[in-house]
Order: sequence, then structure tokens, then C-alpha cells
Amino acid sequence: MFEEFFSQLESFEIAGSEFSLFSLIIGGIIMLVGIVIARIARIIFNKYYAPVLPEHTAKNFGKMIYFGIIIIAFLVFVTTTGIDFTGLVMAGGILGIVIGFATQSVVSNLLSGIFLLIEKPAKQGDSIELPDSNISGSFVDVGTFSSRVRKFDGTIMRIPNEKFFTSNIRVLTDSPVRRHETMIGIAYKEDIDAAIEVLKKTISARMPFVLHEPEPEFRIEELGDSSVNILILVWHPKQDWGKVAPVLLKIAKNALDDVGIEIPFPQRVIWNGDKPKE
Amino acid sequence: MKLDTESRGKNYANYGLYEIKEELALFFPSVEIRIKRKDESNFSYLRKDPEGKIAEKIVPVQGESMKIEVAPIRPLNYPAHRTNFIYLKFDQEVFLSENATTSFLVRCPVEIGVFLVHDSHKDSMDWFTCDPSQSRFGLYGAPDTGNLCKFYKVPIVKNEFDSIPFHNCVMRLNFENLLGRGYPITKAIFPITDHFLYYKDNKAQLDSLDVTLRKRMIIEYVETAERRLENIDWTKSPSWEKDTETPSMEMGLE
Repeated sequence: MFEEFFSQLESFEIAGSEFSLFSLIIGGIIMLVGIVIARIARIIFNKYYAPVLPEHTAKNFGKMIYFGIIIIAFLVFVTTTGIDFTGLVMAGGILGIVIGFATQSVVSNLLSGIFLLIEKPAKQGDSIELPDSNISGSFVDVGTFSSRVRKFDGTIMRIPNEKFFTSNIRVLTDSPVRRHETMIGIAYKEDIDAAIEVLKKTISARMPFVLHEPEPEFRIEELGDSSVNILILVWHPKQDWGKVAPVLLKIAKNALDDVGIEIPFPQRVIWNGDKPKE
Repeated sequence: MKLDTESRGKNYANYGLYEIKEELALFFPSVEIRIKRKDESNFSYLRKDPEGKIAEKIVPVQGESMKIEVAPIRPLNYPAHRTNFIYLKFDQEVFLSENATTSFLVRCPVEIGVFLVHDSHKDSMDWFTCDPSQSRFGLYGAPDTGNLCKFYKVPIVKNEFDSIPFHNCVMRLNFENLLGRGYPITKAIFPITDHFLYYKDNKAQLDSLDVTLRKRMIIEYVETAERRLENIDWTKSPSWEKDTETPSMEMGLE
């Protein structure tokens, strides 16, 4: 029965090309072997070479090796089976235009993904911010159609590659250091130099992640409605934003409180025009 | 276990090897360590640091006693390990004239490492600093391209014993000026992972540093290279950091 079946299918025609069952089986084996080799190559690469490369480079190389071997296997498959794609291309021409319009954004995202891999605006693990979209977090990876950012609240944000590619991207951890600034106001009656000296000493003593070179900077930013506003600018290692920014204002306020320097707040005195009835 | 550093006065321990059979207390400036046998195969380790924090751990040991080595280590760990570079800013400026060489000693801060000694291994078990208020970061170069360093203001000293025990060590700096003009020297920046520390009693020394100021075409730059201390009867400290791959390096002249 099987012999009869194979003899009937020994050769057949698809889109004007004649195939033999034998060549298709060989082609299938080639594809299968290609996929297996691609997976083994990716495993070997991930085990022995990826650990010494930067994470994003390793991931991109892994993808290139995997898909490169599969494409080569496919080309060998095509050559072995003798498939002639001319007919398919002709037949698919009009269909291609229709599909092209329909999948415009898909293609755009795909191409943007390729450009992102080439340009590398950020490395995997970098803290980034997309000011236009109000997104900030840790950059995860560039996928086929979308990029992923792990927001600081732990959730993952998927951003279409086209949008990511055309966005303004602020990389927060590309430089070895970052600057943080905060403002604090003191009363008009207080000595500005004394207040700055107190702030300088306290920051130096209590904030080990604040750089001593360049030194913290203090600027009189504004003579406000009720206070003289001092802008404090400090540099810190790029990883240590969390140990500086959230506590700087608290430390500055406590330092001024400790020496009795007043931090004023707006006060309004309301006068009632009517005389109280006697 | 109650700790009472203040009442101890100044009888501080020395660097070196210690074998503990039942109990040991080691006192350093603002820091004290107590090790006590817990049961047949476990010791308890307790350290109180200058900020009042207590670190406690259980150390399983094989054999009848526990052996530790207390040694000076590179000052890279407090408040967190972020760089292998050290930025020493001198308290006095040294002016080096054209084609001149000079050599002087400076104090370089150290941290203290506690290593568990077993068989022929020395495993880093704990580390601390006796002077956390001086352990700060600094940047050499521009914010986008510069090097993050551990930053210390250091004095120039007269001899290799002129260090404050447990706070710093002494290192020799050899400068050579090939710039074709005089140059004021105010700082030294180098990867300290190339340098080893040596101790004797409570004093410590660091490998020397050779600094050459050079000019290539119109670009002035600094070349640094470590120089091992030779023919000294001091004990070499254990270390765990990976050495920098290049024993010498070039940096822009700021």
C-alpha cells in the first residue's frame, strides 16, 4: 500500500515546478538539521561566549547566529528541491502590494527594530526615559516588532519599535556620574553663607555617595515671596540615584533645623473689613 | 553579646594571623570584632562598625580552631564598590620643572579585610573601614567621558612608617616630567587593583606608582605604571579583586 502511495506521489507539480517526494524528504531533513544546528550553535554561544560580551551584544549575536543558520538551511532546501520561486513571485506580486498596505505598520516596526539594533541608542539594563511618552525605566531589549522597557514600578512597557525609534530617548546611565538638584528656602533674616556652610558640611558627612570632586554646588536661585531659595547641585555615581535624590532634601532640611535656621512657608494674613457689632 | 569599644582605650590589635580556639576580641579605632566558639564545628563572628551597625555571622570550621588573617585591603568597598580607580589629591602642590624627576611619599587610605584561613586558601570573610567619613567618590575628567574614582585628600609624608594605623598606608610616587615645560602636580589617579598592600604590625605600605607626564604631537598625557615593592620584610596582604589587565595606562592631562 505504501509502495503504491509513494509511486503515485513520486513526482508532482506545484506552481509549474516538478518535485519528487524524495527531494522533498531530503529538503525536510535539511531544514530539520538546520534548525537543530542553529539551536545547538545558539546554546554553545550562550554558554561559552555570551557571558564575556555585553548583554545586549550577546543577545543580538545569538539572534544573528540562529536566524543566519536557518536562512542558510532554507537556501540549501530550496536548491535541493529545485523550487522555482519565479511563478510564486509573479503570482504574489499583486497580493504583495495588498498585503504591503495592510501590514505597513508591521513592516515599519520590523525595519525600525533593525535600525535600533544597528544604532543601539541604549544598552540592555540602561535606565532610560522617553520624555514624549512619559515613560522611564530600565531598557530590556529590542524585539522583532516592539521594544520593552521595565518601568521602575516593576511592570513591563511594550513600545512599538517605530515609536521607540522616532522618540527622544534620554539615557540616564550612560555617563559614569549624574547630577541631582533640589531647592530649599531659608528666611530672609538668615545668614546665607552660614546656611550654605551647614548644608555643605552635612552633605559631606552624611551622604557617602555624593561626589567630593566636583564638589556640591550651592546657588541662590531666587529671592522668592517668602524665602531665599538655594539650589543644591550634587553629583553621584550613575547607579546611586536612589541613595541620593530621595534623601537630599530631607537631610538638608534636618541640617537647617538642627542649627535653628528658619525654613519659611507662605503665610497670608486676612483682615476682615467689617467692624464687629458691639 | 555586648560590645564596649569606648572603654577599651587604645589597645588596638595588629594586622596578622590569629588562631581562635574558644574566643577572641579584636579592637580597632571605632570598630570591634568578637569571635566565639558556638559549638563543636561553628564559631560566631560579630563586628560593630563606627556607624553603630552590627554585622553577625556564623562560620562553620573544620578542625579544632578557627584561623583568620586581618590585613589592610584596597579602599574600594565603602560605601559600595563602584570603581577600581583611586584619586589622591595632595594637600600641597609639587611643581615639577622641565625634564625633572621627583619622588615622594603620600598617605593612601586603606580598608581592613578579615580573611578566613583554611588549608592553603584565604577567603574574604568580612571587611570594614575605621574612617567611613573620609571614604568618598570623585570624578576625574568630564562627566560623560571621565573616570569615577574613590577620592581622598592626602598629605605628603616623610617615611614609610608615617601612616595612621588602620586608617591609611604609605605609598611612594615617582614623577617624571617630559612635557617640555614645568608642570604643577596636585593629584594622582590610578587603578589601585594593580597595587598590592603589605603590612607590619599596624603599619601598611602600598606598591609604588610611576607617573610620567608626556607629550605626543600636541597632546599632553599622563602615563602611570605600578612598581612592586622589593626586598622588604613586610607581609603581603591577601586580595580578591581581579587585577587590571593592563599594568600601565594613559590618561588625558587635566
